[in-house]
Amino acid sequence: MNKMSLTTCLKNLWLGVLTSFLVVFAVSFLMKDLFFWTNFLVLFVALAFVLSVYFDLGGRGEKSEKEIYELNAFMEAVIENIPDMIFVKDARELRFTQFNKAGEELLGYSRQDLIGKNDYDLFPKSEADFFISQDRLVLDEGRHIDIAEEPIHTRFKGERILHTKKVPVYDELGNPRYLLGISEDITEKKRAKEEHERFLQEQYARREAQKNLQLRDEFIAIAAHELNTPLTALRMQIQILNKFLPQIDSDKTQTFRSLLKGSQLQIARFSKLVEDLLDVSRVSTGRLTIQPEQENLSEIVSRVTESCATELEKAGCDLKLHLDSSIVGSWDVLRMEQVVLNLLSNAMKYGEGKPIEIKTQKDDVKAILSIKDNGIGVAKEDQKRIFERFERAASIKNFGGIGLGLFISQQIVNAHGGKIYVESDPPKAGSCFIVELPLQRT
Amino acid sequence: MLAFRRSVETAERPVIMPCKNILIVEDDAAIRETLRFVVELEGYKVFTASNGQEGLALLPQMETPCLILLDLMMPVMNGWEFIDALRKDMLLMSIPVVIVSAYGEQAKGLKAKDVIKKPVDLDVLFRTIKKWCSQGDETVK
Repeated sequence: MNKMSLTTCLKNLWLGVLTSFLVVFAVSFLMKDLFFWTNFLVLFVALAFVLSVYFDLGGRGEKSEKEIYELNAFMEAVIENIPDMIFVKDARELRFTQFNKAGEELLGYSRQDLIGKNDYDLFPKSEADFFISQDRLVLDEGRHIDIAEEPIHTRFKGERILHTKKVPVYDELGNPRYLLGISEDITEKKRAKEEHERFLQEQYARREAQKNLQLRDEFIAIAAHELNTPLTALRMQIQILNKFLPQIDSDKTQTFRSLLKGSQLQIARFSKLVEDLLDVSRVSTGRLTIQPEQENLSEIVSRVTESCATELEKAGCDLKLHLDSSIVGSWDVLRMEQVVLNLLSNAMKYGEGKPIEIKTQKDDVKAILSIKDNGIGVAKEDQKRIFERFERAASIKNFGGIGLGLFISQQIVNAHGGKIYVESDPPKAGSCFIVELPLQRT
Repeated sequence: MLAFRRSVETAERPVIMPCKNILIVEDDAAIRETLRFVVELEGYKVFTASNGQEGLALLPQMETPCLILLDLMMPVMNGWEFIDALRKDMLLMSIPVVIVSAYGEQAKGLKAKDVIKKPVDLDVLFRTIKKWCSQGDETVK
């Protein structure tokens, strides 16, 4: 080991030759006497060779002792500070002979406590059985084993999940002497991975839901438009028939008149449904706009209640009006009529034939419209939901409708910069829908 | 109702109302024919086209109409494109256009004179037609 190799000798020789040549060349150049100085060349070569050989040999001998010491210290530092648990068991009894710091921290025991113990001293039997069976496999069959996930009970950290590699270590005769184990605690990694997967799944579900909503909105827009087309023709034709009514034989006029009135009523209902669906598609495409004009809120209410006289009578609901006649603001009149009509229709529908009260009032900044019935009321948990599209609080078995009135009303009120909400406290009777509209629109 | 009665009367005395043309551009046959029927009842001469392109082709062949009733969503050439083309033609650009559409708000920004929302209310339709076709024509008032 300490003998210098032939290549190193040659290298040193060449270095010597090169150095000598340079020195001789420089001096002879200065002295301008080439012949004299050439004699020194041979001497220099020899000297350089001897010196380089001597220093090289001595250097190597000194380094190799130091190297072994440093290598050991280095290896120890790596093993001790590596963040994974490293342990060694003796091959015969499978008792621990070595542990690093990460192992102590993971299992919650000091090195002194661990060394000399076996798995049964430290872990539940089922776990220890598994560890030992894997150890035997490694030692008996001389295999490297990679256990992707194994649970382990630790003293302070509860159950952890390890990724473990087990490797046999042989003596000079080739018999298994030790079992080396390296375990990475993958509990957090696994949890993070699971959480990430859950997040991805949720994200996917959300995206799907959004896509479905979009599809639904598109479908509604198309359906509404398609329904509207024949409705337009039908409505015009019935209107024409109505205009021809005076020309029909007088004995049949009455029958025709009531039939036409009935048809017109049904077409109006049909139109309302289609118009609601069109409004939904307006909302979803951001096309629900309002055209404000100066109008008295109480007059809007009066107009709607007058148009509903027949329905109110049919529903058996008495109507009480408390209208402040001085509430003038900038509102989309047709849209606000729609809101009042929706709320009044609901009050009649769910009001159980009891009195309905409509009030308009104002304060410094806002107009307040309230429509109060004394019917079935809205449960607390439903009070937000009923303003969503296609939502309803009452059972479809008892009450018809597609659940758009409040949604559209809210959209209209929002577009005015106002808000709409319900106050109701079942089983106490009744619910009160309140619309607040700013008097000055910003 | 009043409009109808009057038109029945005028039908009996055709001389009073000068013949005026109205062009209806609408892709749905049922709506188109019903519109034709009611507008003719009012004493107008009606031309129909089932899309914008047909409408443009028809215009030079007829006496300039006093009004165009225009649907927006149509195949081949829709209402928006029809208006664009119309506004580029010196001879046709002054013809008043009234949009008849389910999506009235989409007509915003179009230089249309009026918008009639579908389903059409006949009274609104008659009022609108009269508004644009009786200008400077005292006999029709």
